[in-house]
This record gives sequence, C-alpha cells and structure tokens, in this order.
Amino acid sequence: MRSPFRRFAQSRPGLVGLTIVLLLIAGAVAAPLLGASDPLQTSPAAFRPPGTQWLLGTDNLGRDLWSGVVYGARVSLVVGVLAALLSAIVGIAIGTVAGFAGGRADTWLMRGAELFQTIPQFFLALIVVALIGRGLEKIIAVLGLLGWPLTARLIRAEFLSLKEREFVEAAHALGMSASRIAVRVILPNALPPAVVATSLGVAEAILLEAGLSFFGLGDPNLVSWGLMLQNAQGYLRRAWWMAVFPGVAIFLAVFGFNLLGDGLNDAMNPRVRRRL
Amino acid sequence: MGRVAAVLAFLLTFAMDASPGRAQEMPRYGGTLVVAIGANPETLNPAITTGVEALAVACKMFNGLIYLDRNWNPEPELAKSWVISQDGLAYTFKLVENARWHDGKPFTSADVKFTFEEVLAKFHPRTRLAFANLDRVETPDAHTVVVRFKKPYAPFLQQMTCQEGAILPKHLYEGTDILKNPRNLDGSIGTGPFRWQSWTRGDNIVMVRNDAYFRPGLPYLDRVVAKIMPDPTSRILALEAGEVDYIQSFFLLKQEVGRLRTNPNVQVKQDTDLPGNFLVFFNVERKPIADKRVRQALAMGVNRRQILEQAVFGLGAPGKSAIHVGLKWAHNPDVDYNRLFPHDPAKANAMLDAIGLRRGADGTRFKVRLVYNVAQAGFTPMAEIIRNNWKDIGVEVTLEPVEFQLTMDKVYTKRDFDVSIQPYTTAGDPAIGITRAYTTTPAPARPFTNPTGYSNPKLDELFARAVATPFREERRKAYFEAQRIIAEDLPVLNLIDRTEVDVASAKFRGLWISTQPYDEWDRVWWVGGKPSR
Amino acid sequence: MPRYVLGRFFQAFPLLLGVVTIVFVLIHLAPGDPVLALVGDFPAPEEYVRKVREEFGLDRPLIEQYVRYVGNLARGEFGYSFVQRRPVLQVIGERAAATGLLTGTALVVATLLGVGLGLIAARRPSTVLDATVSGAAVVGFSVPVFWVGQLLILLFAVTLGWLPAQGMVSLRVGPTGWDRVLDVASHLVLPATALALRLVAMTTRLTRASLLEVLGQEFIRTAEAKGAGPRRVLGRHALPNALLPLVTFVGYNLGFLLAGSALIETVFGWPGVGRLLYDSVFTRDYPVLLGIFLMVSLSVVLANLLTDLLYAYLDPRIRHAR
Repeated sequence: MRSPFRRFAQSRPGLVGLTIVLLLIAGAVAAPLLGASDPLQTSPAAFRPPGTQWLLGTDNLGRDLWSGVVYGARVSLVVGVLAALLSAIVGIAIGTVAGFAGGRADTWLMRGAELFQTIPQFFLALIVVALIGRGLEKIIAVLGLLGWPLTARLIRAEFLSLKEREFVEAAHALGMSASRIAVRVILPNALPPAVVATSLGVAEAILLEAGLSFFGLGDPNLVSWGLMLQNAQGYLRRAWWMAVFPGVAIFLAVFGFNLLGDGLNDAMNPRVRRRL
Repeated sequence: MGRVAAVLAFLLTFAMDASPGRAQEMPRYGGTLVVAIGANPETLNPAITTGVEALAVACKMFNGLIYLDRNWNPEPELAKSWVISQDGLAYTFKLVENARWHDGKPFTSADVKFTFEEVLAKFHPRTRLAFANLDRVETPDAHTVVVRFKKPYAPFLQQMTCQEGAILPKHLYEGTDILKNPRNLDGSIGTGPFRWQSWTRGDNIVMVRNDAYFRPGLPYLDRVVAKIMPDPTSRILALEAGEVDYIQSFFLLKQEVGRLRTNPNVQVKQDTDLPGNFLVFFNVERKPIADKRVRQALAMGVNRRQILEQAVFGLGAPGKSAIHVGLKWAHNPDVDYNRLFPHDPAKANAMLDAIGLRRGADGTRFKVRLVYNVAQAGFTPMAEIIRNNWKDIGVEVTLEPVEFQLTMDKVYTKRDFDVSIQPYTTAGDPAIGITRAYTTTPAPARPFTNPTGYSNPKLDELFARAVATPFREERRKAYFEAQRIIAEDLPVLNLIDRTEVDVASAKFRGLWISTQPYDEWDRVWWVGGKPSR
Repeated sequence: MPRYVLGRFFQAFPLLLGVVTIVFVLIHLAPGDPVLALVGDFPAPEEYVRKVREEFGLDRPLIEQYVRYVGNLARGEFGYSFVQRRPVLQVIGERAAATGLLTGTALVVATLLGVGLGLIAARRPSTVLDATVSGAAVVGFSVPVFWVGQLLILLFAVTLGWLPAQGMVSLRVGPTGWDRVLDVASHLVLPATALALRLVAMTTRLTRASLLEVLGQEFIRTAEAKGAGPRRVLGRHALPNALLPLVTFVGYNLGFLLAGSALIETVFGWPGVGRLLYDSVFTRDYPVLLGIFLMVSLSVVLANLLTDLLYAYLDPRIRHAR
C-alpha cells in the first residue's frame, strides 16, 4: 500500500490546494512587503478605480483596497484556522468519549450533536454574536464551538469500528488501560477523517465569518473581507471594484482549503474507481 | 348668439389656462401623490409619537394649532390668531370656526383642552416637557383657548405644530385608553386635508381628499398614498421610474442625492426640516479627556471637512458653535469652531506634547473607546474617519458600534464610554433640542440628554433664564454667552450642522411651504391636474 | 415501518424543546434595557415606560418567564416586535411566501442540475469531462453566496441591464395576471441562480460520489453479467440506489438554503424573511430575530423528520421492517 504522503503528492487537487493555502499564508504574513499600507487609512481619494496608483482601487473613504485585501487575509486565516482547530479539539474529545465509553454518555452526547447539527450554524452564530457583541475572539469561539458535531461523529464512528479490532484486543491483552488504548492506539487510526474534516472546516469557517461580517457582525476594528463586501453593497453602481476583489480573495482562500481537504481525503481514504 | 359667445369665451378661457406659462402659476386640481416611507407606522396618532413614518402619514389627516413657515415663524392653522401675555404665562388662541372632524362633528376648544391635558401632557415624548409647568387650560367659548403656565416656557408656541401638538377629537378619545384606542391604527378621524381610507399592512396607506376641509378650495390633490418600501434603494429607483413622487430626507440615501440633482424629472430641496447636528460627546469624567485642553486638541485633530464630504455627502457644514447656524437669532457668529479648532494635526500634536501626554513606543499617547449607533446612517464612515484622524495625533481609537438600545444604555445610563457620536435634532429652538446636551444631568440620564458628566452651574442658569422669557432679545443674550462658555470647555463638539434634503417628482408644486415636511400638504398640486373642480 | 414512524416523531420533540431552551437562554443574555428603544428621542412619562415594561413582561422572575415563554410558543404566541409594534408571527408570516418562492425555486433548480451534472461526471469517471465537472463543483462550492449575488447584479443588471437588480416586483405592474408572473419571474432569476449555485455544487459532488460507490457494488456486476447494457445498469439499478442518500441530503439542506437565502435576500432586497433578519440584526429587534431563529429551526426539524420518513418509505429495507 502506498503511503498517504505519496498518494497526496499524486492528487492534483490536493497539491493545487496546498499551493494556494501556502501562498495565502505567505501573503498574509508578509503583508507590508507586498506594498500594503494601513488598510484603515482614509484619504480624500475616494472611489478611485483600479490603476497604477491604487492597484485595486479605493473605497468610499479613500482606503486602499489592495491593502484591505492583503491584511484581510490575516483575519480570515486566523479565524478560519483557529475556529476549525477548536472544533477539531472539542469534536475529538467528545467523539472519543462517546465512541469509547458508549452507553448513556454516548446517547446524550449524540443527542447534543444532533441538536447542534440541526440548527443551521449561520443562524445560531448570528444570534449569539448579535447578543454577546462583536469581536474577533468571540467569533472564533462561537464558530469553534458550533462546528464540533461533524468531527465528533467521525471520530466516534471510527472508535466504534476499531474497538473490536484485533490490535485493540491485543493491546488490551498486554495490560494497557482503557484510556491508554483509546488515546495511544485507537485515536491515531481514527484521526484521518478528522483531519480531512478540519481542512474543510477551515473553508467553512472562512465562509461563515465572511457571511457574519457581511451581515454587520464582524469585528469593526479590523479589516475583513466580509466587511469590505458589506461596505461595497451600497456602492455597487459606482464602484464595482469594491465588490469584486474582496470576493475573489474569499473564493481563493475557501477554494484552496477545499482542494486541500479533497487531496487529504484522496490520500487517506483511497476509493475504488469504476469505469462504466 | 350671446349663448354661443359665452360658451366660446368659456372655452377660450380654458385654452388660455392650458397654456404652459399660466399653468405654472395657477394650482391645478386632482391627482394622486405617492409618498415612500420605510416601514409600517407604529401608530397613526400623531399626538403620541415622534416616529417619522407615523407623522409622515398622520399629519396629512390631522392639524396643529399652527405651522412653521420657511423662516420658522408660526403661521395660523387651527388657530387663526393668538396673543401671548407680557409675562409669557398665558397664551390665548382664537380657533377657526368652520373646522370639522372627518366624521362631521365640529372642532371646538374642548378638543384642544382635552388633547393638551389628557394626551400631549401625558404621552407625547417631547411635548410632555413643554407642559411640565402647565397650570390650566381654559375654554371661555367654543373657539377660544387660554393656556396658562406656572412658569414661562419660551418655545411653547413653536411646538404647536402637527408634529408636536396635533389635536385629537375629544369625542372619540375621551374615556378610552389613549394608547390602545383602535382609531390609532384604523379609521383615523382628524381635521386634516385628507381622510383615512385604507391601510393594507406592509404595503400602503390610502388617504382621500377631505371635501369639508376648513380651508376653502383645498386640498388640491384627490389622493395621497403612502407606500411602504423597506429597501432604501428601491425607493429611489421607484422615484426615478415615476412610481413614487416624494421621498422625505429621513428615507433618502444621501449618497444618491448628487445623482438625483442631474435628473430633470426630480426636484431636490434642501433645508426641508428643522435641522439637527452630529455631536461628539466627551466623557469628561474620564482621564485624560477630563482635561479640556485634551478635548480641544482632539477637536483640532478631526478633519470635519472630510467627514462632511465622505460621510455626510456635503449635506450641511462643519459645526460653528453649539447652536446650529440655522437658528439665526440664537447663533453667536463670534464663536466659530472653524477658527477656534481648525483641522491642524501639527498643532494638536504640539498641544498634547505640551500637556505631557507623550507618545509611547508604538506611537500611542492614550486610547479611547468610541461608542455609536451602528444603524445610524453615515455613522460608521464618520467613526472610521475620526479613528483615522486621531491616529495621526497619537490617539488610538477602539470602535464600538452597537445597536440603538445598547447605545442608550452604554452612553446615557451607564456612562460607559469615552467618546460617542450622536444625532441631535434642534427641534427649531435651542430650549427644545440643544440645551439638553449641556445642562447638568446626573447619571443615570435619559436618552438624548447630557451624558458627558459636564456640569456648569453658570451655564445651567443661562439656559434657565433663556427658557423663562418669551422675548428674543433676552434669550439671545443668554444663548450668546452660553456658546462662549461651551466653546471654552468643549464637553461636546458640534461636528456637523446638518441640513435635510427631500426629493420629489418635478410634476408637483406647492411642496415645502412649511419648514417641516409633515405640514401643509393641502397646498400641494399636480401639474397634470384640471384648472378647476 | 409504523414503529419507525412513531419513533421518529417522538425523537423530534426533545429536539424542539432543546431549540426553545437555547432561544430562551439567549434571550436573557441580551444586554441593555429594551424599554429604552420603544420610548424614542425624548424622555417619556414614567407611566408610559412602566406600561411598556409590563406589556413585555420584563419585570418577572426568570423561571416564571421560561414557563410563560414555552407556553406562549405552544400557543403560537411568538412575542411582540419592538420596532414594528406588531406580533412577531405576523411580521414573519407576511414575508414567508417570498422566501418560500426563492428557496423553493433554488432547490428545484439545484437538484435537477446537480443530479444531471453528477450523472454526467459519474458516467465517465477520471476523464476530462469528469475532472471539469468536479472541478467546477469545487469552485461553485467555494464561492461565498452573497458575493455571487453581487457579481450577478454587476453583470446582468448594472452592466448589461437585462434583469432587475432589486426587489421582487416593479410597482408599475398590477398585482395579478400573467404580467405579474413574468415580472416576478424576471426578478427571481438572479437571486435564485446565486442561491442555487452552492447547492448545485454540493449536489453534483454527492450524486457523483454516491453513484460511483453504488456502481462499484456486487449487484451491479451481477446485472452486467446478466447482459444489461450500460444505460439500463445506470437507469434501473444504479440511479435509484444512489439517489436514496440524495433524498436525505436535499431534505437536510433546508437549513443551509435558508442561511443562503438570508444573505441573498439582503443583496437583492428580496422582501423575504432573510431580509427581515438583516434589518432586525441592524436594529437589534430581538423578538423578531429570535422568532426567525425559532421558525427556521422548527422548519429544519420538520424537514428532517419528513425526509427521514420519506427515506424510510423509499428504502425497502426499512419499509418492510416491523
């Protein structure tokens, strides 16, 4: 069997996705080097179209769009990655307990998962942020705490199927305690689907954050792509560039992480292909 | 033969009337005017609300005792004349005698007495204050009302418009729960030029001509329809398409005004309401803005021109003093914030350095939290510009855009803010709309009063004096002095003297006779109408 | 089957109660005194303020408020809008049809297109066609739905002027008749397209994946061995089995569609519940916000229930179980 890494390297979507993601991270980190200045700097040069002086044009308060897009990458990436990681951690923890312990704990945890999966994430996040206030940490916390069910279910499913396998019984026979078996034997085997889910989760979190910002619930003290699109909504006729470029940025980021997730999926869960 | 000549002469007259030149001058009869409003009015009773949707509809069906002409001087409406006593404690109104309610009953002084005592004094959010010192209302006869006060209240007469003093029919409201009376929502009975016909919730309200209106021959229009359109862009598109004929300032997206001015089918009018201001409040109980020199430096750090152009779309002017320039008799021309606090970051930086508030390693001298209502049009760009301006003088601003309720709570109740931007209307008189921002107000304060914690007994005394006399000269002296004091202490910075802008289809005339957009719709006419009824 | 149905019904209730409890908890996390919003610009008489407080039950102990709240909801009493001074249910109710129209259209279009595209891709896996369709699906899945809306407006309304940019109807057209239908249809095209895009992408991916999985199974090879041609294999054997998970997928995606609809309605000024949500967020009209949240969650639970029942009916294994 080929190793997962080799399979990933042969997955075209995965490689493209990885490239995009790495470029984005690099861009976000090296923002000043890319000619981006303070994105919040207003100026009298409002509504300038894209050109030599302002690469992507300026908005209604004369702010440089290129700077906004580049610095906005930081916010989107931070929110996306941290929220997805938080979801992953919570999901893994809950999934492990549910899958391994079973019984009533499992039932109640899965009921909770069902509840959180039923309620549409966007609405729940919207309501919570509308109530507790705007701010980056709050958004990350809300998105992170809403996204755990999927990962939890995946981990739990893996646990349930792996629990009865030979190597687990062997470990048990060797005298390993239940929790050690759970963490050191089963978990590493159960992780692959969770990794895929997390990558896709980053994409989803970036989209959710953009949506929340578009609805006016983003952090007002930071530049965010969604916020830029909300601003653009009032000036569609006058300044098309205000709407086009931040959207392209969101698309690239989400696309990158989705492709990456697909590539990881190909690598970790090879499928039999069938020609009709 | 004579008959034919008479008919020919008659026809000729018609033909002459139809010529464009004459048609411009003589009002024409008939037609429907469609007004765009943003939401369902919460009530159609103008005496218990200050809601713009409510008043835009209700004041076509009701009247006040007076209306304000374009110079803010009171003109007769339900009151045909009035006399104010020398001491300012008694107002005697002579009412029109031929006014009838829409259900046919005659309008009398009893209605006025009832409305003043049982409705306005108890339920109107603004006018209630005017009646705080009401002694009693006398009705010597069916068409005379005498209002007696315990203490003089200078702006009283000005508030007797439909917006602040609409008269309700006693015979329909007496003995009922005023706030829950079903007439508040359906079947309004007023004295106004138009009568309620129907209200299709969420869509439109139709009002038809009142044939028994107390001004003979009026109104010119047959119908007025209020179309409920929640989306601001749709309103403008509808106006340009000819489906809507009038959009009041409150419902107008100001960034479109520039474009509308170039449209020959649209007339754009400025100064279409009692003006207001955008004010910056400083919480003077917080360091370091407790120091007035810091406030003055901050004032110099703000580029009010930029705010005017980019956030307010040029509709107004940078504020000159605490009192709006439009209040000509009260505005002190010697106090000019443009001169006292010009946009001068270098000077502001120097001032702050001199005080000892040096920049830290990151360039910041100190931080402030700017609280504002996110739903208020133009505030987000305003706040963002201020944040940017103050960054240039080393002050780091954290924006806290919150919704209306929370703004009121944070700013007025808890005083949990450093700086706040708020919209204040002048309501046509400093005593009504302006002094409330400067008088001593202990916490927790009511919304739209003075949240700064600034307390100056001398100022309070000047304001008290100004409201207690009806004579302009004395009031002016007090207000002039007040503006000087405020310019020195600057607890509040008048950012912008706003002007309101209405737009309407070019096919209507006679609009904006009153300085308030709610009044005098009886004299609006449509160019496509008939020369007579 | 009957036991299954009953079981599912009973499962739905705790879900509903869970949603309601979350809502109630959220209500009491709201900061600020709601009374101030009603009173407006100037100070109001104390009696008026107290009246309002009483009207909205803001001065009673928490437990009592919870019981009242659940009871009210059961009776269909969803509270009162601060901003519009009308019952919440009425405010939401009058906009439900517009959202239904938009969402329903998007759902139908997306399902048809998605299944079709998924089919095309699955027929020839690992070809250029497959790669193109799959790639397009990922692209479609990655674009923010509201941005697509803005792009469509820029292209078709602002630049080309072919379709209207805002709203559901133009005022000129009368309320009934064929004109009206066409008018609404012309306004529907852009928002429905934008809304459908992501769902098409997801449906395509799922159909393709599902079909491929089914095609790899035993009974397909049996059918082929028996001499069935590719068309027959696909149409009679593979597709019905592959579509089964699709049924559940479509049903479960109501919540996702509604979320997209909120964003799309805002971009296009479509007078539905989503637009109401945006306005209510802006004005922090909490009763309406929470009312919408409840209705959306309720609808999703119901849709899930119906979908499960439909699935149970369609899947012979469950249908014929005791």
